[in-house]
Amino acid sequence: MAFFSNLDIESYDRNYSDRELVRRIWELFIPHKRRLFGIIVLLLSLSASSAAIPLLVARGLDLMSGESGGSGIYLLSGAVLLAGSIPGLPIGLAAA
Amino acid sequence: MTTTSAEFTLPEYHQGDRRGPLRWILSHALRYWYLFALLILGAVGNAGLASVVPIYTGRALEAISGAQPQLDALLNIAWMIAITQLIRSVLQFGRNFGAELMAQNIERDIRAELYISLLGKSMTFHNLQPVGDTMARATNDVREVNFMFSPGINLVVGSANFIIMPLIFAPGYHPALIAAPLFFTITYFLALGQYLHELRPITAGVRKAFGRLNTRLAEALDGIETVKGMAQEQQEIGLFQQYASSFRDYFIHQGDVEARFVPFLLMAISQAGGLFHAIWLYQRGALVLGDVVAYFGLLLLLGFPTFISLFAYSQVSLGVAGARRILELINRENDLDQNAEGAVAPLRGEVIFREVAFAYETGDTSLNGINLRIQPGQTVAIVGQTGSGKTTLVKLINRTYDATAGQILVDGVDVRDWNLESLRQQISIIEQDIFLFSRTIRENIAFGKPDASAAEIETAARTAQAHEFITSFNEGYDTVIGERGVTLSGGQRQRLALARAFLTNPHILVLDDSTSAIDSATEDHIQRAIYAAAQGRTTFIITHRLSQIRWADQIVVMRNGRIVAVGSHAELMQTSEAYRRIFQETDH
Repeated sequence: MAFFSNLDIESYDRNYSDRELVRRIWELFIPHKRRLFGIIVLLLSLSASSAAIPLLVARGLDLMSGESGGSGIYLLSGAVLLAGSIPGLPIGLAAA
Repeated sequence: MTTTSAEFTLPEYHQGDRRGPLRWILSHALRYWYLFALLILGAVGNAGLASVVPIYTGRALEAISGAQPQLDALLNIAWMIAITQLIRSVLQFGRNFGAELMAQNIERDIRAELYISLLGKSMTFHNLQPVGDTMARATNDVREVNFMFSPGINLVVGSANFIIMPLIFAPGYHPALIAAPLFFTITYFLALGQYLHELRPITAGVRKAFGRLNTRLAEALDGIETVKGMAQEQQEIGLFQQYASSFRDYFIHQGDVEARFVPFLLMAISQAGGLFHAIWLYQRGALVLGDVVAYFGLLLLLGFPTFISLFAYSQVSLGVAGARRILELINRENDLDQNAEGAVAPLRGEVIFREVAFAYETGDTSLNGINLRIQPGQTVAIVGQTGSGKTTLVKLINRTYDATAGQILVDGVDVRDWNLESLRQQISIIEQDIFLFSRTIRENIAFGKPDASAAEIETAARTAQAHEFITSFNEGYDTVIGERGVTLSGGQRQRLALARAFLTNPHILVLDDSTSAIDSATEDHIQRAIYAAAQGRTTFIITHRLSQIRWADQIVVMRNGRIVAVGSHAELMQTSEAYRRIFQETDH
């Protein structure tokens, strides 16, 4: 309630609960449900790709410490490129 | 854009450099150079200390990956990172605080500059400028300039330092390692230039579309009675939706351009390429493992400028578009000037019109060949059909409008040679459409003389026959009018306006059909009040009420923007067909 408490100052201004307010706002989103779902999926993929970079680097360190460097390291660079490029996609679609 | 002086200026107020939007913004920002310095200091410090983390992480890796792990060194590194990040948080706070304070100060300053400018504009300007658009500029566009500084410029400056740090520290590990950050920097700024170029017309369109939307809204609400009376709700809804869709389309277009901004790809190429390069050097023994980790950590710093570039630059672009619109309004040509060096003297009240003509900017001629002489203290009744130019004629006396030809002399001095403030303070006009502020009755009466005593206000109210109805309210003179207050009848509003005029004790009084809404029960009282008020001052009365016309010293009959007859009531009834026709129409 604290977040919305100031909205209750004027008696004529607001005569409904926060739950009612959220319900009314949600109604505005209903026509865009599918798009909203798509945006959430894309944003989750953004988070996943961002989280992948330190994991990839950790794996790369293991490769570099061991004897089996070689092509794995080049694959690692490619994976970083891919993971770094992914965020552009959901942000672009979300903005549209 | 034409720069002219405003009608009224407040010399103590800061006025920005109005030659262009960027100069204007800069001139306001430079007033707060110390806050900008705080912003820069915070930004450089924040980015510099952010670089400490990957650099020391690399050292930490080296400390523990040797045959003999150096735990003491690791502890020192941990302390170093903790202390530097603590300092960084303070610097970050300074950066954000400086930017926010500067943004709020600039918003206040430009809002005040715009408001003062609007108050100083001529009536011609205000007649032509849609209120909704002005409101959009005075509220949202001003707000956009605020957002331009915080978060806009705050993040732009902050993130720019995150681009610089890898350029500074990467060559420390190996000179060739500057390649990846250098590639990013060059391509980032090239892409940014193109991005801003594409964004500029779109952000200008966003602001313009919002102005149109507001104009439509203001006009529909202002004319709500007409809309409802003519059952045009559906049409208005259609129009409003059309403007709302246009505003949305501009925003989507902006989002489309933002989405195609390529720094994410550039960052990914730089990081992947940089990592590959570092590993390649490591395999050739030019780097140790800790250097690779530290270098890649530095490349990760590029993520901040990449991410914020999606919205920070469009915020800056919107701010510049907003500033351009505000400045366009401020700089728009003003017909009148204050003439601070003009004549300042108590008026006697002589008014002479000499071959006066006037046309509104639309080109329609409202007045032509007006010649009239009014002696000090005379009462002049102006009569004529609707649209004959009666109101326009009196509005030339206090320079609400300036005559387009001829001269109006007040006490023998051309009105354009009077100090405008001095002239207007001594002329009081009560309009047909009386405006009362949403304040107390006392404040409304004392509007033209804020330092008036309670006794003076009461005397003015009694003279205007308003005291009785004012004291019938529970709060008396402290009753608030309008929104959240009492609603007044047309007659009550007019009596308050008369009280307001009486209080300023003007030397020239203009009553523009101001007693039209007074009911017959109070008409006699108000007639006596006006008669009393007219004594000792030049009074113009625009009316068709015979009771007011009869005692006028001169009656001026107007038709199609010209004076067709001047004389007393008896004379005009004998000689003027136009005058007789007015009273025949009134009688019916």
